[in-house]
Amino acid sequence: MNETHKIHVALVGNPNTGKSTLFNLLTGARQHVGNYPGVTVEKKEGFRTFEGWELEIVDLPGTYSLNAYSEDEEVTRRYLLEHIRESRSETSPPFVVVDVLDASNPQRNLYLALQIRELGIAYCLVFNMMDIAQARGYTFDFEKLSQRMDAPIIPMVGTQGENIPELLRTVVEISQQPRKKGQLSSGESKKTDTDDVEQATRRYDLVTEICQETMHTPVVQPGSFSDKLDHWFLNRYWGIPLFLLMMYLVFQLTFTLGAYPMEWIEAGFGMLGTWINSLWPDGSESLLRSLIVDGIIGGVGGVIIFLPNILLLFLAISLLEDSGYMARAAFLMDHFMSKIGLHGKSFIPMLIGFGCSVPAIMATRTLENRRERLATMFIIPLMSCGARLPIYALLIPAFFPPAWNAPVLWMLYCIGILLAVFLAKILRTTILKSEPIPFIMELPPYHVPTVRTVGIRTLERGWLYLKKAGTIILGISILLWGLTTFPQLPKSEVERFETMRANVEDTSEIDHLEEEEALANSCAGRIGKVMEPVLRPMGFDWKIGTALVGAVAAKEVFVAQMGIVYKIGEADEESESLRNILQKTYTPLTGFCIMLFCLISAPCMATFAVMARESGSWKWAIGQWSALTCLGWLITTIVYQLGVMFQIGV
Amino acid sequence: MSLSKVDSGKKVSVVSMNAGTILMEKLASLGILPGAEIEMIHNSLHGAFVIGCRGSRLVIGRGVAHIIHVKE
Repeated sequence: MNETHKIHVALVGNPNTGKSTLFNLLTGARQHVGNYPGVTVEKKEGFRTFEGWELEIVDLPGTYSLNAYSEDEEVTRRYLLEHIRESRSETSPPFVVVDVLDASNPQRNLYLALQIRELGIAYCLVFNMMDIAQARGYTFDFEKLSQRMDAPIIPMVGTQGENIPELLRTVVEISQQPRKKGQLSSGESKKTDTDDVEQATRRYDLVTEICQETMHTPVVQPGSFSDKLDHWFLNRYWGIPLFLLMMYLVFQLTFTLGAYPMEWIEAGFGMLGTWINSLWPDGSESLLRSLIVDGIIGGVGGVIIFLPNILLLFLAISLLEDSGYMARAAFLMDHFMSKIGLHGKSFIPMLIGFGCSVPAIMATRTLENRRERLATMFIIPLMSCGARLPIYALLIPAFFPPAWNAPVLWMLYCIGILLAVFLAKILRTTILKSEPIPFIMELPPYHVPTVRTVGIRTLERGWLYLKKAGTIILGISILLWGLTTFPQLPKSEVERFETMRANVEDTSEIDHLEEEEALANSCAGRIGKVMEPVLRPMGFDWKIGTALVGAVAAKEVFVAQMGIVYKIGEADEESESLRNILQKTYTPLTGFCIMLFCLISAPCMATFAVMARESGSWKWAIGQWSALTCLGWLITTIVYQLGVMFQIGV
Repeated sequence: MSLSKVDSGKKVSVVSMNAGTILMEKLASLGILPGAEIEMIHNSLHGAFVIGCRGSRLVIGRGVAHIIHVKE
């Protein structure tokens, strides 16, 4: 590609300006989304060709100013400064900044625009959400405004795309202008405290002046409909109950609506398993078949089955975010969060954590205080994630009567939340101590969620979960299948069992013995045996240990592993036979303890990896893993021992 | 007087802010500066406030409201 036909473009702007939607419209399918997207992706790059030009577009996180207060804003700032330096060399492609503004909120949005202007680089302004601005009664003299701001202005309505060609043309045009030598941003030089406030005052004074000259601001207060809604949603008495109602609806949507697609997927995998089994003659012992049916289908199937639930949860969360309600929820939660040393904004990642810890940990980027952020990330695995659902779905019906099913599930979720609260409090009063961040947040007006925005966000987060299935879990499933199958019983043993079988009518007991020995002989089995002394106090045996080894990599694998351990092909949570066997072998107390242990301990490998990345060091990921596992062991042991002592569930 | 004492529906203007660097900067970037006009939309729900400033709504905690000094 000819280097002289490239242009680097950065999209900046306040949060909630429809910037990301614009990015999607510009780049379409030609996007590369960073490995683990959060609410706003760190590095979201895309491409667009236009009249012979190749535009490399980056969507930077939303920010109010170039003085950074959160990691998101820091990313934007660093990126801009880096690229400005780069673009000054004659050999690199020109760099253009596109500032996306919410036209219905011009004053605050122009503040950032002024800072961009001070950078002295090629930039243009997109006045987005023009439909809302006009509905509110704003009118603009774009010619004058463009003069004052020293930049071309393109009005737009975010959800449609009519002015996009004009935007692209403008970008190309200004990229070809001679590079200005403007002063680098104020952020680069040392400054005193009062400088910033003075500068801010000067800028806002300028903003006010410019607005007066170039706009007609409506007399009627904007957002009065929103204010009326907030009268209820932020009400001293009604606020929390309405919030709880919202949360209830979210989980109802997830679990009840998700049940239908779940059944279809399950049936699908069942049929797949049967078909593959049929490819081999009945009764034959084929390693390959075992690998495919037990290892792959069992392992991966367990993940995909819960995809609908996860997607529905993310959909619900996206709807709440896009409608503007999430900001209210964060504010309501702040009261309680601050009691344990966290921020209202910590609430959203925790909610996402009920789906999957990975996008949840990434969503903590909006937390400004590093210690608050670390504490929030630390406790996210305790929000019982979607991966644990197969475990509950298997064990709860196996050990508890139908009337108890929902309460036990509810209890597990609550235990997770309570432990998270407890752990957060401890962390924030000891090793992660810091002054609480003062709560300031912009409250976006309520707005009808757009299908596009909500859809994209939901798919982004769901894609992660699916990728996890396709890669980590598939790999682990195969690995674990290997660990539980090899080494196989030595020939002498196989012959011994053959002899025993020859003399007996019903060989099932002998078969069972042989299977058990084969398992004990395998790698996983040996690991389980070695772990047994540690497992005993919790009421587990080495077989459970074997399955837990698998769960370390990814929780969903636990169920498939139990199936392999008990020599049931294609074991999943609906597996009648597996449930029956478990019921005969273990007590309800043990069943509950297994779920408790899985809830608390050993966050999965994906979580471990993301934790290391987002916290900036392996230290934190290891610390989290160890702390949660020890905590899990401790609590499960206590519960088990108390249960035995008081004869509950044995 | 302190912003936290202003009744719902009243409009005031900022006189001064009594805060540390980071908070000052954050408030400044959002437009809360000496001379800025603020409208109190909801006063003290669960210990925080909804204010109107420069054309949009902000939610601030009690601690923040306390250190912003305003006049009618």
